[in-house]
Amino acid sequence: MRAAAISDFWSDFHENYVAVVAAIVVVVIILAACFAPWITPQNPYDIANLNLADARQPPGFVGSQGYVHILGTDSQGRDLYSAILFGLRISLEMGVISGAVALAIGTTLGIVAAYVGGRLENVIMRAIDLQLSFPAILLALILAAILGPGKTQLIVALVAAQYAYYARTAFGTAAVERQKEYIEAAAATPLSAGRIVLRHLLPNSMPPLIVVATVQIAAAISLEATLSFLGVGLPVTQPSLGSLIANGFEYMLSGRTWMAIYPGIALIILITAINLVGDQLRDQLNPRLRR
Amino acid sequence: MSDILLKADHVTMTFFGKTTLVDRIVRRMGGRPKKRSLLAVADVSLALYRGRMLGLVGESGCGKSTLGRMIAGILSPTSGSVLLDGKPIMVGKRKVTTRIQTVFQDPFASLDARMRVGQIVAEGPIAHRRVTKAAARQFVTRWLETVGLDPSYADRYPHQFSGGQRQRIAIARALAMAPDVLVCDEPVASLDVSIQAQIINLFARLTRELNLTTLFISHDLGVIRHLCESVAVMYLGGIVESGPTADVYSKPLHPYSKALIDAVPKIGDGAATFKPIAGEIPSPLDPPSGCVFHTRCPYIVDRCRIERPVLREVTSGRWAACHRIDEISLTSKVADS
Amino acid sequence: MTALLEVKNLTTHFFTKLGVVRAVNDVSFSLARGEILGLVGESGSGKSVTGFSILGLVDPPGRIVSGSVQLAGQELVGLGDNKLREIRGRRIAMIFQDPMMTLNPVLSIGTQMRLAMRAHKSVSKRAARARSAELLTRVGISDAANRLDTYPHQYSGGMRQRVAIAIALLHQPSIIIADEPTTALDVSVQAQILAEMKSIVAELGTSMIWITHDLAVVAALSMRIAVMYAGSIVEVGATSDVLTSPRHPYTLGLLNSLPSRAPPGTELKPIPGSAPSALNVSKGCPFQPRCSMATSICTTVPPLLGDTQHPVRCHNPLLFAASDSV
Repeated sequence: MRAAAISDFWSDFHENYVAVVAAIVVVVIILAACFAPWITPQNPYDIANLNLADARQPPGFVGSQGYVHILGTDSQGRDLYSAILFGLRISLEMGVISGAVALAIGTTLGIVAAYVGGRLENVIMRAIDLQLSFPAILLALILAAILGPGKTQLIVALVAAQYAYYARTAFGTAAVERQKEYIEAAAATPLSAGRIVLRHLLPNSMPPLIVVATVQIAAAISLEATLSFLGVGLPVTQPSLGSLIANGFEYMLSGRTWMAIYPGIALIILITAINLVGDQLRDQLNPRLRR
Repeated sequence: MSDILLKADHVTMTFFGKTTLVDRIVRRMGGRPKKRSLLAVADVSLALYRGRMLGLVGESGCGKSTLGRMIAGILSPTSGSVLLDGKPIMVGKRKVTTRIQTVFQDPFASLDARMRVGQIVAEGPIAHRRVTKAAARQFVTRWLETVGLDPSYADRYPHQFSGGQRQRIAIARALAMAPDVLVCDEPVASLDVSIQAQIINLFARLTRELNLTTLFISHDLGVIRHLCESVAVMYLGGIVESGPTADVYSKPLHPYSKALIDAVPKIGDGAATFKPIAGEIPSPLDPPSGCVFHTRCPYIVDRCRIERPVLREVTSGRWAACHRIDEISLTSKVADS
Repeated sequence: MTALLEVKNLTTHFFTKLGVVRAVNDVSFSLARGEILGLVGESGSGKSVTGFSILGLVDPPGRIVSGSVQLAGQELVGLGDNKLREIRGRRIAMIFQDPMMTLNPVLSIGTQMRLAMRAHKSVSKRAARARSAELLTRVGISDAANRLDTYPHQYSGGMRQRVAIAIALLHQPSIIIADEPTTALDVSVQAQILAEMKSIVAELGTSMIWITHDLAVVAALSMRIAVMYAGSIVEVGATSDVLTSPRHPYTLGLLNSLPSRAPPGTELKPIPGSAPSALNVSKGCPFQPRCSMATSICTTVPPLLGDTQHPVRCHNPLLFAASDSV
C-alpha cells in the first residue's frame, strides 16, 4: 500500500508544475548547502582566510587568493558566493532544527490537550492563544536579546516563537479525530490512553501537521534572517543571510548593491520555494482529509 | 431458564452543557438561563440473559445509543451502574473488563484507516496479552476466517474493502477479544439490503456458535424481529415496553410500541400498509412532563400529564410503562409478517 | 395514454482518471400523468444518477452519453443550461436525501421560498409570504405564517424535509423526482411524509419518481416499480405484480434478503457476493456472477423483454409466484 500511496501522491503532485519546480529548487539548495565546504572556494567563517584588501569588490573581481569572486565580496573581504552558501546552510539548519523541536513540543501539547480535555485543555490552549496573540518576531527578538548570541540560544528563541502554531494545529485536528468512532472503539476495548494517543490519535493527526511544518520552516528561516538583520542571534563571525543583508545594506546607496541584493535573492528563493511546496502539500492533503 | 449475565441498574445519563458567563449573569439577576443539560437516559434498568439476544429499538433521541454505550463501558453513567456477573464494569470513568465488546454502526469510521486489517484485529488481544506478536498472524487468520473473510486480507487497509467487508472486520475485532457480551449499535444500518442479509446471517450464526449474550440496537423493527428473542422499546430516554419479540409485535402493551410497529411499511401481498403516528418527537432538551409520550398518545388521561409511569411487569416477562395498561387492549395493525 | 416523461436508452458515464464509470446503461421507462414510479436499487445501481440525468444535473467528469429524455414531447438531453433552468423547479422539481442540500442555512425559510418563487416568476413579497405559508401548512407544518422568519437549524430533519417538499411544490411541477428523501429520517417521520406525499399526489395530480433502496417504502407509495441493478433496469411493472411475482432473480433475491419477510430465526437467503464496481461492467448480464439461474446464454446482455406491462431483462426469467420460494 505504501508504494501505491507514494505513486498516487506523486501523480497528484506533479500536476502542479510550479510545485515541482519549487521542490527541485529546494532540493538543489539543500544539496548545495550540504556540500558547501566542497563547492565554495573559501570558508567565509575562517577569519584567517579573509583579506580586507579584497573587501567591497564587485562581481568578477579576481581576489588576492587568485580566484574569481563570481558574486563579489562583502565588507569583510568574504567571497559573497561562499558566504551565501554557508549562510543558506545556517538558515536551513536553524529553520529545520527549530521547526523539528517546535513540532515535537507543540504536537505533544496539542494532542494531550485534545485527548484529556477539560481543565487541562483549557489551561494549555489559553496559554497557546495568549502566545499566538503576541507577534512572533517580538517574542523571538526579546528572547534572543535576553539569551545572548549563539546558535543554541537562537534555536531556543525560534522554538519558543513557533511551537504555538504547531500546538494550535495539532489540537484542532486531534480534537476532531478524538470524536471519531475508531477512537471510541479503541477506548471501548479498553486500550490505555497512552496507546490510543500514540497509535491512533497521533498518526491520524499528522497530515495537516506536515503542511504546517513545511510552511513554518520557511517562516523560521525568515524569522532567523530578520533577527540576524537586526543584529541579534548569530555572532558576527558566522554571518547568516540576514547578517549579510544587514552588512551590505549600508552600501546600497553607494552603488555597491551586490552585497545586499544577492543574499536577499537567495533568501527569497529559498523561502518562496519552501512555501510553494507547502501550498501544494496542503492542497493535496486536504481533500483526503475531507474524505 | 438462563441467568442474568449483565444488568444495567437504574442508569441515568445526563449530558451537561457548559454554563456560560451569560448564563451565570442571568441567574445572578434572578432570571432562568436556558437549560443546557440533556437527559439522554432516565433511570433505566435492563437485564441481559446469558446466551440470548436482546433488541433495543427506538427512534432518534430515545437514548438507545447512549444506553448501549453505557452497557459497553464507553460512557460512565451519571448515576446507577452496569454490573457484569454482579460486579461493576466501571471504576470511576474507566472500564475494567474486556468481556464486553462493541460493534459500531459506521464501518467506515470505526476502523482506523491507517492500520492494516491484521493490526486492527490483533491490537486489543496483543495489548491485553492474550496473544504474542509472534502468534498474532495465526490468531488473525482464525478470526478473519470465522467472519467469512480471506486471511490474506490481513495485510490490506480498510479503505480497500466494501462496507459489508469492513463490518466483518469490525466483528472480527470485537470477537478476537473473546467477549461474553456483544453490544451492536446499528451494525447493519449503513449496509445495502443484500449485504445486510449476509451480515444478519453472520450475527445469528456467530452468537449461536459462541454462545454470546448480545444487545442489538437498531431502529429497524424487521431486523430485530428476525434476530432477537426479546425486545425493549425506548422513547425519549426511557424503556416503555419490553418482552418477547413476537408478543410485543403482535400484541403491544404500550401505545408507542403499537404506533411504532404500525408506522413501518410492510410488504404484504404486494401492497404495503402503514399508519403514521401523529405529532413530532419532542426535543430531548425539553421533554414533556409526566409520561413523555403523552403529547402524542391517543389514550391520554389527566394522570398521564402529571405522573411518570413506572416500568412494571404486567404479565410474566412482559413489562410496560403506562398508566392505562389494564384499560386498553392493543393489537398492532399488522399483527404478523 | 401518452406518457408525461419518456426516458429512452439513457446512458450516463463518468470519465474519471481511474477509468470510465458506467453509472447508467441504456435505461428506458415512462412516467404517466399522476403516476408514482418507484425506482429501486442498492447503492451503485445508478438510480440517483438516473434522477440527476433527467434534470441535467450531471457534472463533469460525467455526462449523458446517449439516449433521450422527453418531457411532454420536449427533448431535455442536450438542452442548453438556460432552457434547463426554466424547467428545473418549475416543471420538474427535485427533493434530495439531505434537506440541507436544498436549504441555505443562512437564509430564513420565508426568504428561501420567495427566492425560489422569483426564480421563475415575479411575485410581490406579500404574495410570496401567503403562498409560502399556504404550502408549509399543506406539508404539515403548523403555525406556518410565523415560521417564515425562522431558520433551518431550528428544525428537526423531518421538518426540514417538509420545507424542501414545500419548495418543490412552489411552482406546481408536473413531476417531482425524490432521491431517497426519507432514508435518513425516523420511522414515524417517514410514515408521516409518505402519507403526505400520497395525498399531495392525489390532490394535485403531480407525477413522482421515488428513488429508494427500501422495497417497503416503494410498496407503500408507488403504483409501478422499476428495479435497477448495475446501471440497468432489470424489471418494471405494477408494484403488486413485481413484489408478488418477481420475474428477475435479483428482485427475488432482494425480497428474500428482507428480514421482515422471512420467519424469525431462520437463515435469510441473501444474494451471494456483492454488486460489481461500475468501473468494470462485465460483458453480458451484469447479474450473472451472482445469479443462481445463470446459464451459458447469460454471457450476452439480455434485452428488456416480456409483455409491455411487466418487462424483464433476463434470459431466464422466473415464471412462478414468489411465495413458493420464501
